Amino acid sequence: MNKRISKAWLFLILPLIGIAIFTILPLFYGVYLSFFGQRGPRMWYVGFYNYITVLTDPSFWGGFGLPIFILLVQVPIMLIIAVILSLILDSGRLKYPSLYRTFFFMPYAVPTVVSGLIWGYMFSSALSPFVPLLKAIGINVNFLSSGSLPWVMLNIMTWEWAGYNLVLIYSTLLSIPKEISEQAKIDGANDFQTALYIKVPLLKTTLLILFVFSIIGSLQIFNEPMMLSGITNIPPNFTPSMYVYNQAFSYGSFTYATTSAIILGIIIFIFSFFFLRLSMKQMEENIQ
Amino acid sequence: MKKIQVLVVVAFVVLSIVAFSQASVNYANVVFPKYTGGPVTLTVWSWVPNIQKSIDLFEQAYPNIKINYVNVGGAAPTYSKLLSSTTSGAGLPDVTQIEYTFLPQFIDYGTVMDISKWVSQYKDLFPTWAWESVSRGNKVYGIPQDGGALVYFYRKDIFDKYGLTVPKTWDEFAQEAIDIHSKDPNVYIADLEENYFMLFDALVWQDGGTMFNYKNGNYYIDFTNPIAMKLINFWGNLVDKGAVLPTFAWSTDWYNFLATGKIAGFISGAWMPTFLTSIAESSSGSWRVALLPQWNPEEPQNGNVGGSAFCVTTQSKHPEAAALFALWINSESNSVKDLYTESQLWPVANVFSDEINELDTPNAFFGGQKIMSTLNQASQQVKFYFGWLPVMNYVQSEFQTQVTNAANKKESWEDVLTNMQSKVITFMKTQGYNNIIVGQ
Repeated sequence: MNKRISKAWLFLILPLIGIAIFTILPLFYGVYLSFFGQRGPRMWYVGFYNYITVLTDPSFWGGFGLPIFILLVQVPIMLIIAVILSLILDSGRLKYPSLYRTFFFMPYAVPTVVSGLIWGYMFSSALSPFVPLLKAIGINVNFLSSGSLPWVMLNIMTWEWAGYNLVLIYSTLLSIPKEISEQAKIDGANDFQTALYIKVPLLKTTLLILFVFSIIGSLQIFNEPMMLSGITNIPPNFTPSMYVYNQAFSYGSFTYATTSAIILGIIIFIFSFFFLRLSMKQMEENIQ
Repeated sequence: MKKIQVLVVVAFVVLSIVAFSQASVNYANVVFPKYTGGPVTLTVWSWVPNIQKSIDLFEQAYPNIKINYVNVGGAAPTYSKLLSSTTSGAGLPDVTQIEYTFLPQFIDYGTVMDISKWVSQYKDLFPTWAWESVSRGNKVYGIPQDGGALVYFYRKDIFDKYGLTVPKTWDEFAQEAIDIHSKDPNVYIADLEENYFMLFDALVWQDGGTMFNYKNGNYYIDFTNPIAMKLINFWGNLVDKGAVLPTFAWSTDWYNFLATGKIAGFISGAWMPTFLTSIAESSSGSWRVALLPQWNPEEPQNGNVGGSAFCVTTQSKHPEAAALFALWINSESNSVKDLYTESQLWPVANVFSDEINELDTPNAFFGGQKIMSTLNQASQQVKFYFGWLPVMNYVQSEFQTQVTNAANKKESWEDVLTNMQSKVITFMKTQGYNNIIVGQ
């Protein structure tokens, strides 16, 4: 047993050192820095002043508007689409289900920076293929105006992530024993009823876990708005991560940005902890 | 009697010669300081393209000074590196390019040093406003290189099509903008660039106003002064009427609007022609350059957008050689010529005005117009100077947010400036500036 443990340590030691140097140490240093005010190369001790400023800054809280919109609107839409598509894949009625699976998954393989950029161009006035089509039927639209930005983000995020969610849901469906759906068929249920009343309830746990992932993801959205900011006007606090980035690299307030990053991290931790507890409880109920 | 008459004539002639020679300084025959030190190599950070010819000329004039020219990749990456090198105490070059608008920030950081002891006697080589852009009192923190006096670029073919003339006053301008909008809602003769605060600032400058200043060690902040309010209302009104297009400058859409003629006229700096040539290639030959409309045509004034200085850093081991380089390359007559012809800058050195006639040839992109004389006239109209705030990135960003809100009718145009006033002051205070005075 001892030999095994020491062998394990041999493999673990390098990554642990890496994590210590590149994740843990900067985290502690960041907490240290958050107690200082800063202007250019000068720093001075300010205690909790930065924390109070972040927590009372309407710009910081304003940044949560988009993640909440994504969480409450985009994620359900995306999960519904993913569930429907994976049920169709699982129904056995498609000739080449693996081909469809590959297509649906492909957007996930595109780096989010690239999809943000390309979709941004697709929605821009000059390069969009949609704008002239809509103009032909008399609709003049500016996709990248500030009012439509959340819907642009919804579009991009759904395109990026639906496939990933679909694959995870589909693998859950695959793990459902065939006997159950065969039994249902014998009892007289058609495919639609099988899907809705038997398969979907069994997806509850998976969907909850995917929702937790989405919480963490939506609170950290950065790449896509960053790419859009080169094409159109994106408010500097469009998402909390952008707020942190701009405080650091646009305004040079590095210690203040560190403070806001720490607070953001704590908020994400609280959210995910809460929902993970919820899904654990759900799983326990399922087992019972 | 006759002897006295002769004496008077001789005296008159002598005095005229003396007066005449003092009145016309020959900027092309300046005697630059000698360099008496040993051989050195200077590192220079700058994003000016194609500057090698000027550097070669310098190395010929000063054989003991070699230049290692590094293009760090544009203003933002350069400033980022300057900040981190200043903070860490090492890594700064000998000479760095810094835009006038960001110089106060780097003076404050302690990145740039006072080079007055080597260069202050050369201040007459530059226009007063440019020299004041790089000075604080008697201290000189850099040598001014280029400028961007405001000019108006327009499509002559589109103007002719709609019977428009180049407006001489802003009232005429407003009227024409409204007229053309009613004739063709897809053509604009001006845009309001939401992400370009410096352009708005230059327009306020053109009317003799300033939203901030630096005097006697204090920063003055006054975004809501009457001239700025008048300007924001003027432009905001035209945007609300649909006569001026709110844009995101330097974006694909903006390039597209310029190329297709949706923006048939716009205001920018004297450095714009090269960029416009590549952006609007398809309409080459149709563009023209004109002076801006004036608020008071009897007393024309202008503002400036853009422009940088070459500064010596506090970590330089050879500050004298570095100061010499900054001075020489930006004021020696042949070097200045090359800054225009090779690097496409608009040099501010006074010698450049004398070289305009020789360099001004018909410009094909502008339909054969000799644009340099117009650009020069525009530059001469820049009259005064004011100090920038050390937080211009924040000011730009806040302006973008506020103007977008106003353009989307979420707030009034006056709110833009009122909000900026309070937000900028708050931001500077959190950055630890306690030398802020509200007002002019």
